[in-house]
Amino acid sequence: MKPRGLLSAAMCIARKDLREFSRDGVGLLLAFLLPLVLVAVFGFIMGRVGGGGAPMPRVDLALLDLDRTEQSAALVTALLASDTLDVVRPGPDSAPWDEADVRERISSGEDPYGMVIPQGYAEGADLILLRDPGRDLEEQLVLMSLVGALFDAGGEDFAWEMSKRGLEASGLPPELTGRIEAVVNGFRFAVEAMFDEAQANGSFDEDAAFGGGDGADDDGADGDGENAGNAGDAAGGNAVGMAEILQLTLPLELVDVAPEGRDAQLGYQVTHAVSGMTVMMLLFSLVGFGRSLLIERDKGTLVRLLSAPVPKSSILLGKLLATFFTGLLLVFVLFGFAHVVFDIDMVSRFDTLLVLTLVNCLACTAFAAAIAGWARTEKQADGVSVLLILTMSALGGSWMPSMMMPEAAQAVGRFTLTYWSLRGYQGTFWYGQHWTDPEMLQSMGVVLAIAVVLLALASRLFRTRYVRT
Amino acid sequence: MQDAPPSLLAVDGLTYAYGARLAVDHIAFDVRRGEVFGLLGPNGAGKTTAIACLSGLQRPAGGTLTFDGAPFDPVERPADRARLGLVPQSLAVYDDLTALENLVFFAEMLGVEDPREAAVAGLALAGLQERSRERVRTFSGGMKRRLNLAAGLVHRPELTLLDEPTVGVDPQSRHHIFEALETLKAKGHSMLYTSHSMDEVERLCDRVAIMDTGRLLDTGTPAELAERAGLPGADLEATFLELTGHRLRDEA
Ligand SMILES: Nc1ncnc2c1ncn2[C@@H]1O[C@H](COP(=O)(O)OP(=O)(O)OP(=O)(O)O)[C@@H](O)[C@H]1O
Ligand SMILES: [Mg+2]
Repeated sequence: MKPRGLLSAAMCIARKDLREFSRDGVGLLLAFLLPLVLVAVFGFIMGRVGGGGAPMPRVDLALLDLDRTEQSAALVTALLASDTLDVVRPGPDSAPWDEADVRERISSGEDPYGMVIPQGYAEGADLILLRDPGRDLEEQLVLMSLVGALFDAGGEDFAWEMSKRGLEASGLPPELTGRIEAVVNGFRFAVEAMFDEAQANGSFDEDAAFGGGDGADDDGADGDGENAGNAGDAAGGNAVGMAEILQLTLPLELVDVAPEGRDAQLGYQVTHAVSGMTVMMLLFSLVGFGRSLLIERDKGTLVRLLSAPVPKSSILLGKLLATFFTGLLLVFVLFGFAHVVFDIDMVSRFDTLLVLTLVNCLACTAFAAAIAGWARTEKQADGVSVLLILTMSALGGSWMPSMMMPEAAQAVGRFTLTYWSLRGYQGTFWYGQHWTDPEMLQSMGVVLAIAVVLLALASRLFRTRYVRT
Repeated sequence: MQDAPPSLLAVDGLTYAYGARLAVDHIAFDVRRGEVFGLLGPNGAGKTTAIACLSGLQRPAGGTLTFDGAPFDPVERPADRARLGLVPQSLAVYDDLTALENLVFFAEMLGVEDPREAAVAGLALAGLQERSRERVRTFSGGMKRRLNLAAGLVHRPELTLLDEPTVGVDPQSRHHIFEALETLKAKGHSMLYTSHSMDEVERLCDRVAIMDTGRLLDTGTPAELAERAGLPGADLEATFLELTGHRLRDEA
């Protein structure tokens, strides 16, 4: 006879746990299928539906005014008043920005959008809108706010300026545009009067106003399509979005600022959905698995383990090992699925994903162990874990990107494990960061710190509530 | 008078309290090598608590333990725990594993050199060779009890603590368990045995201790106890009732 040491005993327990786990066929299927289904559903929904949603989230826009004229100031004021934009400007104490700073903020993922009001804006120079391509969910909000702000700042003349640009962009020669403008100007006052009247009546009869010609509508649509196509070519073959169309009629120059190495086809929402659901399901699955400690106590087998000639801490360690291993397996099954179905390249960034996943699984394992250590019954464990995981997932950004949530929610979200786990995964999926990059190290550092605290808590609870000598 | 065989486990002044309630109150006895020692007492007497203290599950509030002449600290020293076998009162086996897997796992945990061989021997002891590859979930209560017994014996401990190993089984299983224990006894195996069945104890145990509400009332052979209780020649049940009274043990 040779009493086993800590690790050897822990491995025995982990093997036994995994064997028990593998016996429950339906449970096993659910444990892996449920996360797959959720990742798939969320991925598809977020990939296809690029907007909508009832509550209007606010989007960060880094703003730089180089013009410093009355006109530019009016635009800045209008943008600041927008209730969908959070305008970001350098603080009173920090150094003033230049265009490169704004660009840097977008490529580093700090803000999804930036706007530079160039010198000469008052004389007609185009605004520069910097954007992270692929973030089309927020793009419509930004553009709508921008149009609103331009109207606010420029008054109704701006509308006519916009129409003129539209006509020019449609390919009409300038002299024709001039003549159309002259003709249209005649209508301008009539139409304005009509709008005023409609507003006063509270109704607007579209057919009566425009004759309701279907053909006319179709023509218009065709024209848009062509223009949009040209704009798309000009923008470098990107899919045609609202921005490209609006660019034709707004004094706007579009600049894409994407981090290097990102797959052009990848949608932000898809990578977000995959990482968000993965982190959430990892927590759920591991908490479920961690209940084996509670079951050992209820079933009486814990007594055998505690009376065996092995260090008592090997029981907790064995459970942690089995849970950790299950977590790794789950994440890689989910990522394999996402690799195939959503074309998210997992292979080229494998080292970063591995390091991130090791750290995240450790933290989720520690979370599961802390819950199992605290709970006196399985019901308690289920209740508190559902509550905590759903709250962390909502606030930490598993369901909806953090930046689209109200300020206060974002602030609270930073205290969740979910937020930092997600930040790591999005760092590699979206911003193409390597695990050695400072931002990644920061995210992983926070996750690791949370893991250490939770492990200490779990081990304390294990000693006071399970070993109880 | 013949010298008594040397004591294997000596318990002196053992005390344990759950909060303010003294569950084990300064008890002293010794289990001799090769002996089956019966620990009797009504429900709530403190038998399971005493066994938990002996097997390192609970840290006694007081008292000393000596095993084979040396200080014994099963709470702190895994090597001390290795000398004992425990057959818990509650069924402590894994339902989703087979009988064989259960025994292999416990043999591994108990530090057996060849867990498989020990597990196969355990299956024979439990009479479960035929069903060894079936999950315990499908077993009857008697089969689970037999497996529970074998799991505490796979490492051939020097002393086995058996907490009501026959509770809730049919006469066939009880008979099987009994034969197994008698075989072990014949081979010189030392055991501490608790049960509420007086005829079991009379049949198996050399000496018994009777305890009630945490205190030890008397220790000796059944005949000695009967005599000291003023009922010479009486059976163990009569002696037990004489010593512990007829009051029901329902109150907390
Ligand atoms: N975990 C516990 N917390 C508080 N009190 C307990 C606990 N376990 C047992 N007790 C109390 O300690 C006393 C001794 O209980 P114990 O289980 O040791 O008795 P027992 O002799 O084994 O009884 P039984 O024959 O019913 O198994 C009882 O009064 C019981 O209520
Ligand atoms: Mg008991």
